Amino acid sequence: MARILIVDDSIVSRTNLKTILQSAQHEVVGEGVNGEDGLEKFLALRPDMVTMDITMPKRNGIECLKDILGHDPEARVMMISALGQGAKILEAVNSGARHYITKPYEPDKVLEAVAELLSE
Amino acid sequence: MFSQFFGNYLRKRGFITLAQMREVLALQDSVRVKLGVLAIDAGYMSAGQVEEVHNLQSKIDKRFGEIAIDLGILDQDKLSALLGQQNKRHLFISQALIDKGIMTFETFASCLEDYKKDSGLSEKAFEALKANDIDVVTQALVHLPELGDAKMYVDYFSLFVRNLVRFVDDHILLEQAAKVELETFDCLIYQEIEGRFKFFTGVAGPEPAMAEFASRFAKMAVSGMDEVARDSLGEFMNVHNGLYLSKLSNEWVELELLPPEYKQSGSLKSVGVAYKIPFALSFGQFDFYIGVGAPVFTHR
Repeated sequence: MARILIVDDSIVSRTNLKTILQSAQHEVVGEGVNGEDGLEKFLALRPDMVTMDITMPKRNGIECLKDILGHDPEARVMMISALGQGAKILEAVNSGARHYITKPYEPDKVLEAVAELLSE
Repeated sequence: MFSQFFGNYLRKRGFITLAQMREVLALQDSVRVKLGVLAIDAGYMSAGQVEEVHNLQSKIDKRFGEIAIDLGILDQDKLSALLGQQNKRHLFISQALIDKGIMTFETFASCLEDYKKDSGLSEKAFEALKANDIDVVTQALVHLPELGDAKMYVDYFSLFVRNLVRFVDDHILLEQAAKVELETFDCLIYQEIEGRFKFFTGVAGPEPAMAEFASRFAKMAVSGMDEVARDSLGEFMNVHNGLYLSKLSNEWVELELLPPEYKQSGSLKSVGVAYKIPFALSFGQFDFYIGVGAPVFTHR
């Protein structure tokens, strides 16, 4: 079971994702509400992986991804976006994101993606 | 959809009261049969397969039957048989009105004929309304002639109605679109879309109705337009517009979503052409807005 940090400005999205992750006995060690908060929580908590929303205020998900990888190039970050954001997902993957999922969440797909990322 | 439209017509003409309309619609709900249930009942699909198709529906802008065929679970003949059963749903309101003694067969038949004429719908559109075909009905009812690519925007609105059905409520009543310049609102969630087409869309309504909308979408309790409610409305716009952009992306049109914004007690002034489409759900009255460019907001 992994220690996971969720970074997303949406409380609804964070709550849904937390419920899905906890259903598979993962531990959600923290929640970041924007890119700046996400980096701070990552440095303080050093989770096994991070789920990162792309569109957020202050620093967005791609900027936060780059900040995290700047501190820890081995960090495992999975991007999250609404459908129809193909260009941003591609930019995130090119910037070092290991995986991505789209909203609305399908629990099975989320857990499958998390398992895949953790097994790398 | 037929029941809401026909019921509202009867109400406006004074044949039934609002309370009677609600009672009849509630009765209809008790016998509502969805395609997945019909498929299980017919032995065409397992519960797991129905769940799988439902999950895919939240990711792909396709109907239940289309996805089931793509997956090889149903074929066209089986789907037609199921739709044939489901399309009789429009008869429920008629039966309920007669069973409850609100109308006689004669009055009902006469009102139905009048409604066909007064609705202004073609024979095809009227049949589509009875068959709950959202695309055909919205195309027949919603006209946005002064928007640059009117068909694109009507398609957008069809998807919006389908997403209301998927995520919020399937008791929908649409009214005619009207061009607007300056509108006041109680609560509004809106989102701008940029790229080859630059336009905004939004939903406005009174606080209790918007809070209920948010609660239903998030499947979480809210207290008025609190943080969860505002966030949920924004997520609805992200999901809905994301589905639309994904569909356009398959046609090689790439657009970008700006973050959704929530506004309270204000007015919206369009800088380009904008339309309002009033619609009702079972728990309140709303206005859908769509317009080119970005609107200007003023706080009241």
